[in-house]
Amino acid sequence: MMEENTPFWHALELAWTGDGALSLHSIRLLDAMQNMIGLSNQRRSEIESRFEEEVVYDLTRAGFGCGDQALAAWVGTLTFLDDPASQDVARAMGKAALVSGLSKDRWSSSYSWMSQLGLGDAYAEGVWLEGEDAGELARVPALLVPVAQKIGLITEDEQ
Amino acid sequence: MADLDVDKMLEPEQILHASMILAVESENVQDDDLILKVQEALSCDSSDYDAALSHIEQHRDGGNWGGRSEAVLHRSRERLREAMDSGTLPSEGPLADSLNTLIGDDDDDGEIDPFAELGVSSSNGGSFGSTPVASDDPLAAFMDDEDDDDDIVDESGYFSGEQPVNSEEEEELVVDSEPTVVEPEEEIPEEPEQNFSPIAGYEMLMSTCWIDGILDPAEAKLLSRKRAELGITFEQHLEILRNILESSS
Repeated sequence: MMEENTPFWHALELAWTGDGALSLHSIRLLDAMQNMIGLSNQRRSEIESRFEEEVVYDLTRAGFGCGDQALAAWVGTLTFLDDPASQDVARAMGKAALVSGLSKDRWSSSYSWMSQLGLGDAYAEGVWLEGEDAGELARVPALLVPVAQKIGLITEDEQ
Repeated sequence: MADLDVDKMLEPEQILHASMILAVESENVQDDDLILKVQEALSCDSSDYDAALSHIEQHRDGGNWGGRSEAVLHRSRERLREAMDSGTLPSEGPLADSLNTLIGDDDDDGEIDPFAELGVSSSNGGSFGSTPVASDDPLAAFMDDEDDDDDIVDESGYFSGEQPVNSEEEEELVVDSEPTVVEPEEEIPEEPEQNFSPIAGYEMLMSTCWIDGILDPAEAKLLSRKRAELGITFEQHLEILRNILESSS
């Protein structure tokens, strides 16, 4: 799984890149997210190490970690995973991705992303037309907006 | 003329097969529905499609067609042209436009020049060894040079990449025989099955589907159907996919 194509990497981006600092609130939110998605300590450390090397070392601090607000809002959308329809939505999103045209890179990154949320199997079934026919994707849940942007389902303007 | 006989000879399944070959080998044609439209225009059913697809999978050899890809593509183009000329397929309208795009211009389409590949100039019609070559048939050199009895078309009327090209003999068959590609008594024995495991065949098909860099619904549907036919589980599919992605990265 590519570290940069994961929801936890996205969370780190929200936390850090607001002003180049990480607040205590953000640290707690990241802990909460780790528990909610069942991310192992080892995997988290791999992602954070890579993130530090790729992103943090190039940041210039300009505040006290204001990114925690955006992170809090996004972590709040993780409740979508408790929705019984989340698997169906993931399947529909897979089908929508297929219809829009899916390159190898987009498949790899989006499958990696969805897998960390426990939605990888349903998403793959939607992409590869496996099992029951996936329904239409009415709207993209806020939790999945970042990956929907990665695969070109929505643009930043459409958020 | 031989062309007229060829027209009579062409079966819808052969035309469908030719169009599928060109679609598989085309880098430019992106119309997912084209084959479906051809299939409908020819009144071919899904079993014809499956038979042609199976044949392509057996003989495509990763696009090499047993070293005779140029001949196979050339003959496929001829067949589509003939089908359009004879009215079997429409010669005007959107489908005809798509087919013309599929056929392209094989005289100057940027594809590999077999003469150039062999270090023989084809610019002036030239010759291959001591055999004169008709200037309008870049494959004549190969055809004249072959002296065995095999034919590029198998008993089903499909192209066979493993078998040498011999257009003269094919034309003789067309002129002298009943309007079938191969007379029953001269049927070529069933080719030995290639030792492709279902997994290897599926992997090849998946690679082909992603050859243009984009997976589309028609390709996903095709792969889904092949999984069911070959008894490949979705988990195996994901494993094969992972291997392909790792090897291409």
